[in-house]
Amino acid sequence: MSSAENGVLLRAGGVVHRYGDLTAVNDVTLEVRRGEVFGLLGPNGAGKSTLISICSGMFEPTAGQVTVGDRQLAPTSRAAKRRIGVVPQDIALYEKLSGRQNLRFFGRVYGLGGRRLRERVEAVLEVVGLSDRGNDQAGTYSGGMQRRLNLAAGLLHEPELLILDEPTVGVDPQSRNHIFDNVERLNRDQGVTIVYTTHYMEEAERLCDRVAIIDHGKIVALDSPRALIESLGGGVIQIGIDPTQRAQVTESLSALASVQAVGPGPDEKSLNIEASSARHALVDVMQAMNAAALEVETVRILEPNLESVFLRYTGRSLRD
Amino acid sequence: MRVTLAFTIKEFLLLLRDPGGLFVLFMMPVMFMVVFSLALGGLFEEGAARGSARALEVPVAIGGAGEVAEQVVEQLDATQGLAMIREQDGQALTAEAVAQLVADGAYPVGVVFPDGLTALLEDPRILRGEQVKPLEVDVIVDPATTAQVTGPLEGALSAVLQQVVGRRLGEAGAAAWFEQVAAGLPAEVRAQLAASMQPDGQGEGALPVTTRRRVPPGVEREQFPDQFQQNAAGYTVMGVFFIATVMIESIFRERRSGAMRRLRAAPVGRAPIVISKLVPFYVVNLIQIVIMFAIARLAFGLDLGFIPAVVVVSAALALVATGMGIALAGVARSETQGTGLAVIVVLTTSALGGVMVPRFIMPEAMQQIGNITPQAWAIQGYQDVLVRGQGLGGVWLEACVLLIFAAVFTVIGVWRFRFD
Repeated sequence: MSSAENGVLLRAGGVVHRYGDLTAVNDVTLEVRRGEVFGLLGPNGAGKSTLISICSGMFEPTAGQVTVGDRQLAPTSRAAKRRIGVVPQDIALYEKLSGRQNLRFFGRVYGLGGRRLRERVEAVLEVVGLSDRGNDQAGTYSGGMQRRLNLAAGLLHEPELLILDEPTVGVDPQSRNHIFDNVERLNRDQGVTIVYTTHYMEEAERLCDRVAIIDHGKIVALDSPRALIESLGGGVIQIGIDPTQRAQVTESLSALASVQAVGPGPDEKSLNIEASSARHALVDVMQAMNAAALEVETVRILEPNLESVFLRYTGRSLRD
Repeated sequence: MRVTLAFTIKEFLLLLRDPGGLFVLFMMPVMFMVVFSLALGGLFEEGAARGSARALEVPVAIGGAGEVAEQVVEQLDATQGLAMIREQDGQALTAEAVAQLVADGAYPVGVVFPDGLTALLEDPRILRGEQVKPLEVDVIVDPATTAQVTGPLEGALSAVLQQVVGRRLGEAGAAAWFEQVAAGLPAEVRAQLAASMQPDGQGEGALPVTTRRRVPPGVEREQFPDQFQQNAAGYTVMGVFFIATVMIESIFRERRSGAMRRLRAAPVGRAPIVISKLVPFYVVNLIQIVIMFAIARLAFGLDLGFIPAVVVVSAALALVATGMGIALAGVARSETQGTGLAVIVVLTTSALGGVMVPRFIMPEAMQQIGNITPQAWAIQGYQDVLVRGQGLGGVWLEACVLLIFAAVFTVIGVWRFRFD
């Protein structure tokens, strides 16, 4: 069955990309289904930008291939590129040109012209809420407004697949919410398939139907945010202790049946207690501490989230 | 202090991150020193003489001018900085051959002596002080040659003619007078008188020989251009090539903005992007040329000659300059390196191409190297029209060579073009 027939819009198969001796993308295979919002998470240097560039048709991989629908994607494959809208991480605009002039230029690059171009320019300005500033030079816009114009330039030719590379970096909360609303509306109302890379877990949790975690050039986890979080189990109890009692506390708590593991916390005065159900294990933990006359200074229950998932699979925080 | 040191270290690190830019920075003065020293060596070296590369070589036709012409040529040959060429391929040069050599641009200036020069000086009418029609020694000058080159030759020629012809006339006149008045004197007295009558070479009154400036055959201009008119082509050519620095800045600025990266994801190839870079700067170049020649015409009275020929050379020249800009942008690894490289390339090729000083005063090897610069062909094309008065037929070769340069540069530019 072909990709198009089984509802897959973007498919990367065995993609490898090397820069000299460095393997930036290492045998990545993934599929983005038509109509979904697909998140790509990874720390800096994980190979995320290289993979996004290959999936945008900017350059060819060292090995493997990418298809959009039934068309193979390459720097020279114009038909496949026309189906993709790319919103790069940089504010890829001409500061000296007005918002409308920028959009007219990028619209022409994608083959729009005449009345159709004028209509699309006005439509995307309306979508990103910049109609009233369209004639101002892009260089005079705030950072958030520039991000919105950057997004608008990727929407002009009504792509089936929109690739958003860190679209909210350095954006004020108002513009950030505006971008979230745009992404949700594009996906929900117009059926646009979206690939979304971000450093922010709450964005991925809010927007993405599925997320892939990439580290050292490989996909280390791929599923819906809920499934990934549930795969972690019950969560973590973080307790504050007297540092002199650390060894005694660790020994006492490790013996509890409801506790899976006891490890160091963020500082020497705390411990992280992993449990299948943090809330149920909390009772056992407190009873054990009282029985051993050990002092508990603070207690926090850390509910699992994508950040925890990321930490589990990569050993690092997403912002490392 | 610590903060200042931190900033200073940061700046050093940034500088070291761009070794290509540093290389350009260090190489620029070295290149200028080497190229200009080699190209202009002849201008600054004393004692330029026959056999040295810096002496002005002047083809000369003596023909039937006789002994007087031989003496004049010998004295000119002995003059510092002049080397008289009497033969080519073992054959004495004729008047036609000298004119053709100058017309072909092989030499900037030549000399043709009139037949019967020596015989005229023996004409009894001259000895009697009667007026005769003077003969003319032709100085054949390429109109594109500067006055700094022809001036010393013409001055030396006039002075030597004055000396040789004056002495000859003095000797002949004195001998005739002596025979007339001293015929009856004793031999011893005659000898003493004769010794006291040696001519000093300063003949009196107008000589029966003059010099005349002429242009070689096929050259239309009768008016010789002034210094500014000669330089208009050179400075226009050099100015046009500086578009390369502006183009490099523009391309690197676009890369920095990320817009180029976005275009890489767009359904367009490299060629349209490169061509779209060329077109506006090509138009800017044409406007620049129009402004340069308009000023030269309005303020300094430059005769533009056959304007369609000027347009053809200008159109080809602007293509080369923009092509060079796109090629250099492709080769450079950073903006600093690119603009530095452009300045080096433009100034050195301009110097070698004869923008700053005429190529014929350069050593032979440098003249040959100059032939592979587009500037040399552009200046040649402009001078063919502006100075030598030629039309389209006179510039087609230069225009074709410039188009080849433009094609090569543009292909390199497209091939090496990078989006980020």
